[in-house]
Amino acid sequence: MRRVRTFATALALTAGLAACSSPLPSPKPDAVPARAPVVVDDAQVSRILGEITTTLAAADAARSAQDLAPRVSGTAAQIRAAQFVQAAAGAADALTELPATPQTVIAPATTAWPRTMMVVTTAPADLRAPLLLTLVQESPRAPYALVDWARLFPGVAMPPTAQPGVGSAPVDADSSALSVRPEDVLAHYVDLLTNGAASPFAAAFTADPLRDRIAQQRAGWTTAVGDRGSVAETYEVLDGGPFSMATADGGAIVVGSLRTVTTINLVDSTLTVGAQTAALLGATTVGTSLAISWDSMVAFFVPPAGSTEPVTVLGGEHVPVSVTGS
Amino acid sequence: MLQRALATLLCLLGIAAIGLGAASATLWRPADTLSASLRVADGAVVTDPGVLDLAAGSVTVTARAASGPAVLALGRSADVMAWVGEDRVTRVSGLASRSLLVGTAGTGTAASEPSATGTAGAGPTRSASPEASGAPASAGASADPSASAPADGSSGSASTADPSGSDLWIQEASGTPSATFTWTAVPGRWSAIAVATAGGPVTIELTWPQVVTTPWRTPGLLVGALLLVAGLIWWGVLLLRRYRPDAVLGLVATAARRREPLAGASLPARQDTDRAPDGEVAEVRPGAGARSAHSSAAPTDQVGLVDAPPGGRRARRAAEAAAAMTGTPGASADADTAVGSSQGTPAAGVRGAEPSVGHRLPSPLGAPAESSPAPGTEPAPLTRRALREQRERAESERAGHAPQGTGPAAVPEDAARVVAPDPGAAMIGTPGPAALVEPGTTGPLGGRPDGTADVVDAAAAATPGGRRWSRVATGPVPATSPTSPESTGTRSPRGRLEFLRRRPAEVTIEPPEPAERAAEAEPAHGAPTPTPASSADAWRRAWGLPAAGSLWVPGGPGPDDPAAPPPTTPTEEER
Repeated sequence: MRRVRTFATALALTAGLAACSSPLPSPKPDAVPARAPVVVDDAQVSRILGEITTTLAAADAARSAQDLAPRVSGTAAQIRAAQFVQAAAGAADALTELPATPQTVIAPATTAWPRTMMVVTTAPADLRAPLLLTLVQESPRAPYALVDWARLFPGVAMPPTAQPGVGSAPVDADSSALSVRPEDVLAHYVDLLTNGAASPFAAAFTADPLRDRIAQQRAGWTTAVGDRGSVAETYEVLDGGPFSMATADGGAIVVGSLRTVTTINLVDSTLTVGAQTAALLGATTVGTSLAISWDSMVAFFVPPAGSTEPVTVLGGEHVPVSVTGS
Repeated sequence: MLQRALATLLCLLGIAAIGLGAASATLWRPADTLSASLRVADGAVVTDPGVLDLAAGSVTVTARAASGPAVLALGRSADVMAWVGEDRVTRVSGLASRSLLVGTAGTGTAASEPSATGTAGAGPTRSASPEASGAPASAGASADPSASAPADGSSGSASTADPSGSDLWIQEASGTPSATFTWTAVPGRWSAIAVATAGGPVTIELTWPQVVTTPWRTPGLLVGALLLVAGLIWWGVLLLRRYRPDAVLGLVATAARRREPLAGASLPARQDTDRAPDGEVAEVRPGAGARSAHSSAAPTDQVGLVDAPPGGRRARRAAEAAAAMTGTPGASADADTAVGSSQGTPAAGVRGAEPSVGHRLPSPLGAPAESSPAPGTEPAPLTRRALREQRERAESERAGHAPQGTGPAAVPEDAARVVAPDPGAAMIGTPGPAALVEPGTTGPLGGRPDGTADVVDAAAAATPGGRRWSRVATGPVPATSPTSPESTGTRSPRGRLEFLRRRPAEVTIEPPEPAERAAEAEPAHGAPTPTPASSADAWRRAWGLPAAGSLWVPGGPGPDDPAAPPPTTPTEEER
């Protein structure tokens, strides 16, 4: 009997134990990766771009610069605001079409802020060249905002960048891993704009349509004014940059903005300005002076350190943002 | 008994095992999910990396706010902690139990995650900076998500920043009062954050699907089935063993009969009783008076059967008993059919019954037979004990001499039992016996009509005292022989004797029934012819066998009948 009882007990115990089970599972987190992982995935990019598009659409409809926040900021916001003014004044095509469908995403791989993400959009409906959008997240709780867009120049090849799933590392403004430090790129470019062929950096940049255009405009104004006045132009680097993303070959895409101010002083004459400028000016003629501010958003490809290649200007957008005169 | 107990226990264990096995797959089947939760008084709740997928590849996260909306979001652990910044936060680091999460209160430290590697940071932060850094943090934090700005001075209890809409989140849900989403694990370090945006307590619950296995089901069922089967088999064996002796004896008897007619001489008693073919009996008798007595006994059985028909139950039993007695083989076709089924069972019953019978046996039956070979002479004044002892003695002797004896004796009783249950069988049986009887002795039959009573009567009538038996014995013998032609001869006298004895005992038991009395009258008729009994007694004595009284059974039809019925009935009663 005892044996039987023992057996019964054992049976009951095992059955009871069967009801319970394995030990508590414990977390087994992946190790912290040596290299920061990409911080946005496709879905996030789509969502972010969607948000920006929505915001832009709403702001465009209202011609309200205030509605651009928080999804559009920096130079982009300023330019858009100017475009709103132009549009309000009746200028056609004042608003740059900003497609939000990504063709290439240069996603950030970092754990720090601010974070920069660049997106090459598909060609817009107007068949103009694609845009290189630069989005920045200033802090963890801030949204990604569009701070810059540069129209890629025809014939320019985007440097290869890492897969979106891998992500590209941000590049410090003072990084020495590049042939030119990002923070110096714009300065050098401004110098080049200012001094032309006399600039020590003349050979440091490839020829680009933006610089040509600025030169043409300057020449145009100069010609227009002739000897009845003077034309002076100054260039300065705007705050809020540069934004840099590493490329696959160790170089970097550096995006920045600069301002061009064209000042015209008239002597005993009047100047009739074009519709676009007039929209900003609020008048069509000026009798003494005219100051036109242009904001330019420029994208460069800076080769890695040691490279003898010049800095390539990938694209740019040159837009008048304000006109004053009398 | 021990064996029975063990066999029963086996069965029970088997059933238990089956039950447990089944229960393990049903009642006790582990839950299909593992669900653990944690309630936090205020602030955000963030799961440490690895917590979300600690129990399964997919998790359902639910945030429940005590008041107001709850927001739930999932992002990279570093991002989540960066988002939390200096806010008060409770970090969930694992399971405390199968239903509770472990949480550590503290504040997040932006950008510390990578170096802190999760858990390490939690400890220090916990005690260090709940309020001090908490307040400023919330203030600073409020700058960005202007929404949550109200940062009151009250430590952290003010409304918590709303994480919804951040570009950091991979997944996000919100609702009032609860929000939930399901996430399938992907490589990387991921955390969920739950916030009650209106402030106040928030509960986070993680639910993982679980792969449920029922490892005990099959073994439980199998082992259970085996145990059960083993137990049943054991029981079966035990039961068989019980009957076996009878069955064996019966077989032997038949075999013996078939083989050698001579056997009849050696083992007349049994077969006689069983078959009680008139013809045979007749033959036997001539050989030895004792035998004839035995044979007469057999007839009685039959007679009993015959009687039974009218009586009903008893009659049936009697008939059956008779049939059993006869041994399946020989018995008249009628009886056989009726009894046939019963025979097997009866044996068992008989065994058990025997002892009891002994006790019950009225002094007359047992006593006369055993004490004095001549039933007629001795009444049956013996006490039960005496009877028992005598019987035992006798049995032991028999066993020594002729083991068969015991067997057969048992058989009849069993048969009686078995038969009893089937009314139909009884009916069938009856006719047969009746037929038998008729030829042998008309008288008895007539008496039987009374039915069961007959048997009893027989007993009663027969045993006014111990004498009854003697009478019967004497009377019956002649009568019996005619009645039961089949039986007789084959077996050894001893066996018969025993048989007879027992029956008588049984018979005595029956007497109690009222109907019997009527029968008594009849038996009286039968009783008249005692002679054979005396011869039987003599034979017994010669053999040193006890119960003479029972012998009468074989006796002539008239008396036999009455006597016979009693035996069968008694068996029933015993049972």
